[in-house]
Amino acid sequence: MSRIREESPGEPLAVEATGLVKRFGATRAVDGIDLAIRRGTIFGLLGPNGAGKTTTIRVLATLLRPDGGHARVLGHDVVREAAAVRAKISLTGQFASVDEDLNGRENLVLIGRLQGFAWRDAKRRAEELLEAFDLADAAARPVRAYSGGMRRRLDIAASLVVTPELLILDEPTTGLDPRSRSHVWEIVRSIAAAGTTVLLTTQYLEEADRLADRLAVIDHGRVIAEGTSHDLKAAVGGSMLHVRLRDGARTSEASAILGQVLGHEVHAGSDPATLAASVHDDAVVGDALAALSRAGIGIAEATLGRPTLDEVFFALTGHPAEESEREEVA
Amino acid sequence: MSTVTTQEPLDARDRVQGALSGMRRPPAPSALSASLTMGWRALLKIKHVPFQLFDATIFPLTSTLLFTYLFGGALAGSPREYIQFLLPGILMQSVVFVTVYTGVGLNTDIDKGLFDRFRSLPIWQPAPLVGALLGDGLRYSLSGLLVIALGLVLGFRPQAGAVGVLLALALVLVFAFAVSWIWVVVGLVAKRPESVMTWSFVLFPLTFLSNAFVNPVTHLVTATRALMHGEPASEAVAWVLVASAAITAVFAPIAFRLYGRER
Repeated sequence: MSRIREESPGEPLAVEATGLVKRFGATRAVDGIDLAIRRGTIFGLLGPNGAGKTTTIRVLATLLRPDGGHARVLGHDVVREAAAVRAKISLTGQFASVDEDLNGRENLVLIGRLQGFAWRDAKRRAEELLEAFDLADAAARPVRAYSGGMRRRLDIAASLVVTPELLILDEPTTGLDPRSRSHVWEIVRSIAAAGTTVLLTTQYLEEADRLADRLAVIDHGRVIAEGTSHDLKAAVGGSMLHVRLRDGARTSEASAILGQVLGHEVHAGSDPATLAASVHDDAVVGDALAALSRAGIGIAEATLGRPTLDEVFFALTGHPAEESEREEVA
Repeated sequence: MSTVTTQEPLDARDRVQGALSGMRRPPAPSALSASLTMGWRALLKIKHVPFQLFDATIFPLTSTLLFTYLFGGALAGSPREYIQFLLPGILMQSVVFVTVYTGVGLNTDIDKGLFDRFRSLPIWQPAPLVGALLGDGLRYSLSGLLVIALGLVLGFRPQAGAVGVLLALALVLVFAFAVSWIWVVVGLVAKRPESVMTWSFVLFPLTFLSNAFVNPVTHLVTATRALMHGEPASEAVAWVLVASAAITAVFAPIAFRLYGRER
């Protein structure tokens, strides 16, 4: 799903960042990030925990001041025109940022009032949103009794009390069950279809692949690749060869043979007896498989296909996407 | 791209989009309106979670009972006489204890990410702070009134009548507001809500046990007692007001500075 539109001159980008740097003490959490996000698109910042995704969006949401570089959001500088930026964006933080002591309705009325609605309008708006996000039945229940999915929906609803031009979602589905996750995806698509630009962070490759029109892969505070998920897959090289062996004990032997014939690094696949390697010239695949049978290594399955985003991430960073996932204490 | 299989009704998308195209952005609220809205939130929290209030008042209440009946006779001849002396101190203690929740509440908001949301809204930025203090004012008044009501039941008879009691309560509130700036600072600095409580275990005994020559707490108890019983109080009252002004002058600017700081 790549809705690439011609950039119309004169219309500022939703997000335009050049050389963004943010330091915390000695660590450069964001280390020279460039971003250009067109209006009306869904843009994904993909990276493991600690890659600098959250810091980047906090700078864009005017919550942090950059130590270097510039960023404009919807045409306004995030430092000099912070108030103008805040008037056009909504931020949904990583941990559902709603008041647990209040009920769902009160949370939305509170945000409505803080956006400047009169009491009556704030209440009406709250009812509309509760209805739209399947929360009408739970409106009078305290939020602490909500499930993770309900809490996340309320959180997103709170970000839409006034329809923002840019909606920033920090890991919108982290910790949700698959059904709630697909519900949130559907909501995000609806929001984008109505014209709001969506910037989301995620550490799930599947999520980025399914939702985002364009992606930036972030690692160690830098953008290491940018484009559609199609572009990124193509950038890794032609195809991926996946081989599953009959005998898991011979993987290292098979790995050496494949590496020699294909001229590429071979790495372990998702199962113990599988291997994966990128292939630039499909013609050598036959030779590679023949070399394995000559060595007496039985092949249970061999497939040649496009790389998955996981493999893209591995190829770009040299480590799997969720390797550095650490327990984050809320 | 494959479509996600979802059990949601087909009109879910329409409903979300319908809710989006709703109202236009109103003009940003005034500083007063934003602060009052945050105060409304504090009221809702008292309504939904009244334990916070009881938590901080039940201890002083039970200690009032305990001290009056256990030691009353021994210390002052009779429980009835003793409570005349004891209640002003208990009043001060219970209200000042409640001020910790200012810091706890603030820190919880930061911890839960609510502050990020508030700070990314187009509101007067200190509104969450000011609104929280408005709610705290009500909490302090309620816990003070609770202690006074129990005292009256137990035989507390203030010589200066209702006016004296209200003046004394007002003075306690002034001091509590000053002290709550300290808790705002602690709330903004502490890593977790629980550590705010830990701080209180360190700070309160220091305050109460301090025998320093200008202990504002001692003056506050003296002033409260004098106001309630119609004794000369102006010197002690002046001390309390000076101390409150000094605490506020030191801690409020620090609080606002920390509040504007990045997290």
